[in-house]
Amino acid sequence: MMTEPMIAGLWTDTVSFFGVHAVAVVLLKIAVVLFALLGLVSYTVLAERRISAFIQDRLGPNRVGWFGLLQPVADSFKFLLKENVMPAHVNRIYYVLAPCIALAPALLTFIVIPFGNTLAGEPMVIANLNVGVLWMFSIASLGVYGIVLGGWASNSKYPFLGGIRSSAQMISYEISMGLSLIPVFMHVGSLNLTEIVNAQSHRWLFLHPNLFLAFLIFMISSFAETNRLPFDLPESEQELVGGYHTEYGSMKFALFFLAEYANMITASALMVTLFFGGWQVPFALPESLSHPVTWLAPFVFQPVGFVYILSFFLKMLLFLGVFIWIRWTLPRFRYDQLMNLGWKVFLPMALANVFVMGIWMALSV
Amino acid sequence: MMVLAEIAPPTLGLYLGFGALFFGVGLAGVLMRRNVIIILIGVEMMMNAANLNFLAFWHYNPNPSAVMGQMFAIFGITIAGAEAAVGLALVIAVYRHFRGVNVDQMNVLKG
Amino acid sequence: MLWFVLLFGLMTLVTGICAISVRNIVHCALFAVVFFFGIACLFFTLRAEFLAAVQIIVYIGAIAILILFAIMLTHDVTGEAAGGMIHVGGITGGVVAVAVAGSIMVALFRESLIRNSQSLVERTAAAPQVSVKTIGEALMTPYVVPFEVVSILLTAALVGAIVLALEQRPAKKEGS
Repeated sequence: MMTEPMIAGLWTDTVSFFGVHAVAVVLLKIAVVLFALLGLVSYTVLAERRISAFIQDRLGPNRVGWFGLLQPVADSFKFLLKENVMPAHVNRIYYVLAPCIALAPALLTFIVIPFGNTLAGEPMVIANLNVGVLWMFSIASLGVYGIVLGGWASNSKYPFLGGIRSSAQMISYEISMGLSLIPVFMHVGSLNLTEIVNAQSHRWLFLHPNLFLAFLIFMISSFAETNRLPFDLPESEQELVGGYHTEYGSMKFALFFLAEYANMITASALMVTLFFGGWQVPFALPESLSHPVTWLAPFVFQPVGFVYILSFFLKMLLFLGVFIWIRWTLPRFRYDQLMNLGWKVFLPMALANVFVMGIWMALSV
Repeated sequence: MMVLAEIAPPTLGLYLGFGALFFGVGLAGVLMRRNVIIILIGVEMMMNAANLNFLAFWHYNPNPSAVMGQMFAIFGITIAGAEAAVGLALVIAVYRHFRGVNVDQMNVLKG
Repeated sequence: MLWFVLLFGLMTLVTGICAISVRNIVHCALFAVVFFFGIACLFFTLRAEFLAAVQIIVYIGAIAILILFAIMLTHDVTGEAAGGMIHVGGITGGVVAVAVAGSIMVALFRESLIRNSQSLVERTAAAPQVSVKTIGEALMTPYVVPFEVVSILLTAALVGAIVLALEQRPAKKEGS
């Protein structure tokens, strides 16, 4: 058989290319980030339920554990113990595959995001790619497939309409999302996310007027990309029952659900990284943290790397809060309004922003 | 086998061979299928094979600062994108007219 | 790297063959997605990270989605009606395709270029990487004319696609 030498050959290639130490460290980082991310996803679901309840003057889930903090555990058991129903009319392979395809890109995008400076000399990013942002866009563009396939494989009209809507919506907003970031690259001169964070050590990018506009376009487009509420047309309950996941139940539905929240987390992490200084601590320059600022002293642990990770994490939570807050306060757009906004407002605005940024840079040189 | 894996880096010939095979597969798709959409997929495959060749020649170019191969691949991908957009718009238009997308239905010259 | 290249190459080849030979057209499109992804992996092994990312964005993120979109608009929702496998001239077409690929292969392995390229060393990690910045500068200085021409082409294609796909308004009004 060819397989055994092939696997051995792939392993030798990997190790000789990166080195054993690097492979082990990367695997460790992947494991830690994956578990942290999935844990965060389940607690974001809880946060969404509690915050929505607060906004609507209800209590929300508060029975399981202290303030309902064990609710995610209960939910996961509920999802796992439910009967795994497979409707008779679906295309079985794609029906099962679609939720997995939906979740994978959300987790894969995270590997290029620097979530801390260094810890014990290791950079706190899984893959420091030179084309980091492009990688993120390319993986994010795979996210459509989960929804389109889910809608198609369900073989029923509401999921199908949801799938069609989502593919049109996500393609449209990917364009303005991509174009909105070009001023960032022009300013920083790199596509590498670590370099983008390093460039913000003295001034966060959103303070620049052009880049603030870029941030607004990026944020609103990422609401559309994650199918969150002002733009949740693919699953709008009142029109399409549940959209692309109407026919899904138990763990397969849970995967779609987790994918949505994982996408939210990734989008928040990106906004923090690109515009809000990434892991940088506000009002504290990296140099000053090596000999701690007085007001930060109680929080500074011996390895200062943890402070950066904490800072990144807190900023990310802030954006997750914004995501939830907007979902429960804004009504849904109509489909033509959504398309008009994407193509006739954001696209020209992002292009003009690139142009103005170019003039700005030419004048300031 | 293991020894071979360690000593032999992939050669230009390997990439060019794969490129030729992919081109052949795409061509077969164009010539053998009736469905316009699959024909379009075949054309895209042939474009991809050509881009693979451009990049392989760029990679094995002894002059490392030359970016011509990458430029050709970039323009190739751009043109493939334009071609796909127009092609699929044609597919929609043809479907509206003939209620089908098989090439053997499109044998009436007058609209 | 050799094993990665072989793995990706074979994966791409097999999915490519599936993409043009499977009956169900949605399956064809999805196999084509894997084919495009395999090509992107091969670009990665060639150290062309930028092109690999662009390949995924353009082909998988846009073209393949458009193809799926077109399939869903023009076919039965289930996608089972795939159209006939081979038309009258199909066998001839297959023979032609095999002949073309075969003659390229024969030419390749007879050509001294390939035999000599065994001695060409693979570019090592120490060699200067072609960064995105280099590509951008090249696009804006020596290649600026083709760049502009391509942008005109893209605009023309955009307008053309819209004109082609747009329904004729008067006809629609008569119908309604």
